[in-house]
Amino acid sequence: AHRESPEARASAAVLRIHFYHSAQGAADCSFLSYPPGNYVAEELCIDGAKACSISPLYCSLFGLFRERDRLWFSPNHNFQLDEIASEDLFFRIRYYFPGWYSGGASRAYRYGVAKGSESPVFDDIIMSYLFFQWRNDFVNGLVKIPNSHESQEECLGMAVLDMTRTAKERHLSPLDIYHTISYKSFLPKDMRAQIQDCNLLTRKRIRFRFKRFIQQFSQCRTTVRDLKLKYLINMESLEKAFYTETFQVKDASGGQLVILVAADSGIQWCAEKLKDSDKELQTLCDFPDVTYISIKQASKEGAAESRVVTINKQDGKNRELEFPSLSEALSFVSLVDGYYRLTTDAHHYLCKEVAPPRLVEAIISHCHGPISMEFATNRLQRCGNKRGLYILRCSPKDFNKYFLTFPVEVQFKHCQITRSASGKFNLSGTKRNFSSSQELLSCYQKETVRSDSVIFQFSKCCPPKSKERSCLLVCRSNKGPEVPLSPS
Amino acid sequence: TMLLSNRRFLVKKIWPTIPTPESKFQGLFTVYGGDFQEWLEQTNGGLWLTTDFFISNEFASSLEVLSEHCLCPSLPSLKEDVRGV
Repeated sequence: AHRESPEARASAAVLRIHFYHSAQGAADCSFLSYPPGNYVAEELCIDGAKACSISPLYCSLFGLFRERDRLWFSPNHNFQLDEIASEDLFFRIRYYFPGWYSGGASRAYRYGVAKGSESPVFDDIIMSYLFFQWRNDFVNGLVKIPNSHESQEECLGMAVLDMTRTAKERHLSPLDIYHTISYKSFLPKDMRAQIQDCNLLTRKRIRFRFKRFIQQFSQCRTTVRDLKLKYLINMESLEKAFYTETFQVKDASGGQLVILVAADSGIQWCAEKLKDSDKELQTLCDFPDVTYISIKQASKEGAAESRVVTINKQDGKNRELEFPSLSEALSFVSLVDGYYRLTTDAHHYLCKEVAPPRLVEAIISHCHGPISMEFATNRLQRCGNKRGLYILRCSPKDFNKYFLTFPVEVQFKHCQITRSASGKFNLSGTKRNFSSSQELLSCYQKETVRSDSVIFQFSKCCPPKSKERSCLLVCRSNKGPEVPLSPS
Repeated sequence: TMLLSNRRFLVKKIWPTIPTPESKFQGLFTVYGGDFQEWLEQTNGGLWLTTDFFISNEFASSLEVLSEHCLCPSLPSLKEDVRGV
């Protein structure tokens, strides 16, 4: 399902969106390319999601990442690229929830309409994408793995999983792979170098033991999916840098701080010198505690580039952090904003400078995100299924479709609105196009419509409620099971 | 003892403890008979059996606007088309 836009091939491509799964030399197309022009990050992410068959529900986990300076772009970032520009970006999972695979007490999950109908944070497509993303970070040494005997064994174990996965995908035996690709290429760069430094005999012993185990492991009954899953579970416990972002900032008094952001721990900080010792980490605040964030230019002489980010909290206090550049400040704020939407309120943004354009649009038109049909009908039921009441929501399957869901006696109907490539909205079955969904609705709200011989009007919108729990929100693994454990 | 510690040093030099992968798969063959999924579930305190989120197929209902021909006059376009293709 990977394709290049046809117009991109014609003229010189100046922007490329790369994917991780293709780093493996997977066939036809490894990236999307674009000619000179203006592009919004959010729309590029949607293109990436479509190319990887990722559904709208999971698109909010992704961002665009530039490896060169390790910079993330906010969803509203506008890439303005002329003929001589060149931009290479990775379509990358930015938001991660530890314990997402667990079915036990400390699991992360998406809220369901009722107890027992919770759903997983990631589906198999996301899991597979994350596998290739983390594998890339692991093997290429982008994340440093601790250099202990224990973690070396973990790395060898992961090489076994990876080699077996490769074999299964190519319909070969793990030993065939062992004989054609060095087992060391499945290990982190640093560990490869360490093994290279050992004497011949030791190298031979490590290789021999690895081979013997690969042979034994090939007797195992397993699937590619489970091999990838185990690889990710190991990775999560091996090093939290895989899912923790760090920022170097100054506090109000000018002291150097390191800020760490991760799903479970929220925003933490420590004095720069102590960054390796976990116990010195202090919590700045958790995502639900943030009320809004502002960014302003630091008014200090000689620091024109730097920006002060003010995090306003529910307790009325605020915290100022000075970032060395605007791009780093925006990267940080969009990270916190994204986690806020995934943990606290799916229809809200904390800072207008990073607000995703489609979210801003949705807020204006009272449109729900890609909630499932079950959520929409449940919500209408709770509002008493009144005549004329409707819900506008994004399709959970298509990025450019919306549904108007409304009750008709005991049933529900879902009328489709499509958004064309040029941004025109059309209600299926009608002739007119509108330049926004709210224009469309304000027009048809005055009209009587008919669907399968039922006559009605869209008179009252049922907007998203603040902090409403739906499948768009994740309950984190360390927040305790507010809902009893999953059904049998 | 001098000789002994020298020998230990030599052994360590020539025959050091090497990292091996099998310690990370304890019980896979002995307890679970090579059933990877079973082993994975048991050693991780239970997993989602499948992570595929079931999204129901939705069928769009048909719709007609009864007075399509005499609609309110076309609203002026409020927003420029900035998205492009």
